[in-house]
Amino acid sequence: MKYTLVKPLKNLGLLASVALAFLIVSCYPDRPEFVEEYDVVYTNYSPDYSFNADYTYSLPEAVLLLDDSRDPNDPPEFIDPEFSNVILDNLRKNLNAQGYTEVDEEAGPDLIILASAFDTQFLYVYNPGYWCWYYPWYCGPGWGYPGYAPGYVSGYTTGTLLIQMTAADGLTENEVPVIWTGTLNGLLQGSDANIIGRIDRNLDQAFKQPPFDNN
Amino acid sequence: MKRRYLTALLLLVFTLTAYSQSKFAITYSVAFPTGETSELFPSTSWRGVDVDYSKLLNDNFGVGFSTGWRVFSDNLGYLTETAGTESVSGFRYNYLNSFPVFATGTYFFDTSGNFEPYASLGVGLVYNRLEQDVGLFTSKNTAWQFGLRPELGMDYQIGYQGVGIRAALRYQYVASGGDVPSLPFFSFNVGVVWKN
Repeated sequence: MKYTLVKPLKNLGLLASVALAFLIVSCYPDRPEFVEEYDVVYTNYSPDYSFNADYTYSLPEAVLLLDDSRDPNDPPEFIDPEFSNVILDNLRKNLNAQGYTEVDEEAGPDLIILASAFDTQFLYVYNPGYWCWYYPWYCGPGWGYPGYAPGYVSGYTTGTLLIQMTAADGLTENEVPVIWTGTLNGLLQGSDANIIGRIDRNLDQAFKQPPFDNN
Repeated sequence: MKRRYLTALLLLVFTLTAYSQSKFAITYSVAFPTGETSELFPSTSWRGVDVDYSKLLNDNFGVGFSTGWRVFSDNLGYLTETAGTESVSGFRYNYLNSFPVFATGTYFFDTSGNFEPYASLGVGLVYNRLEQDVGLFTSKNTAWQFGLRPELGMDYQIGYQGVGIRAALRYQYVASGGDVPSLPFFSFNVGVVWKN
């Protein structure tokens, strides 16, 4: 049998190609494997507001579905009760654990908690007019975030649940004061049971983060 | 003045060409994070390759360059980070792609036998691309950073045409720059070296 010595540079080229090919596919190894690993919980709040008081709150019995292409004057759309019931029950549980008391919206609550859902572009600046069906005086021209600026998130394959805690006594003609925001973002994949479980866990997480510490 | 520069340049070219031997090495590299690197990447990196070239000016000393590609990656698990009034929770994945470009000086202690132990120092720039993912969101920062890389190694000739095996221990220091922190690490390299 005859062996032929390959010129070193040819050898080197082959080795380099193999090594580079190996590394190219390894540029971002160890990506998340499960849909849960893409979930994010984001919270932010007004540093000017004291959250450690015995506030009263009210909660609409539905979670608004926001669609950028709809007019705020159109009839409101809501997400499926299968999901909204979980969201609203969880909010009640966590707000009560904080020492807050739910009252009827006619009783003049200190806080009004608004839950909305998106499945496309995320907008903190969506028109508060969407909530006119619940409180006509929430038809103000814009939201206000006193003393802080919430971050922006977006994603075309994601679902987002936005919880806005608003202070009823700070309402002005021009602004609805949002004193706390909780944002849950994740992939809209998996069974309904899986999505419900993730919403529940992530809402609990939102209330473990400052300024709350529910455990 | 011009003549002096020209003379110096010619002398350099003459020196480089008079002694025509050079060494070319390609090595696989395993890296062990240290300093701030170990805070972002607690785990060993098993993905790395380096390419080294050295023009021998005499039997013992060579100048050249070294480049390569290093990938650190880590799943840090579920984390909550708070900054001011903002808090973010999610699974955190960190990735670093590092590309060094060093000018090197290498001293070979003994070139009379099959074993050629050497010490080397690389000085240059490192292009680092640091990515920190939380869920679907990414914070990506890139920077060209100053780098320094001392090295101790050994070449062992195994056949003709100067083919040998290289094993080396390297420390890559990288100064912080831009929005990327200092990212030092130790590495152990093993691979093939050609001397011609």
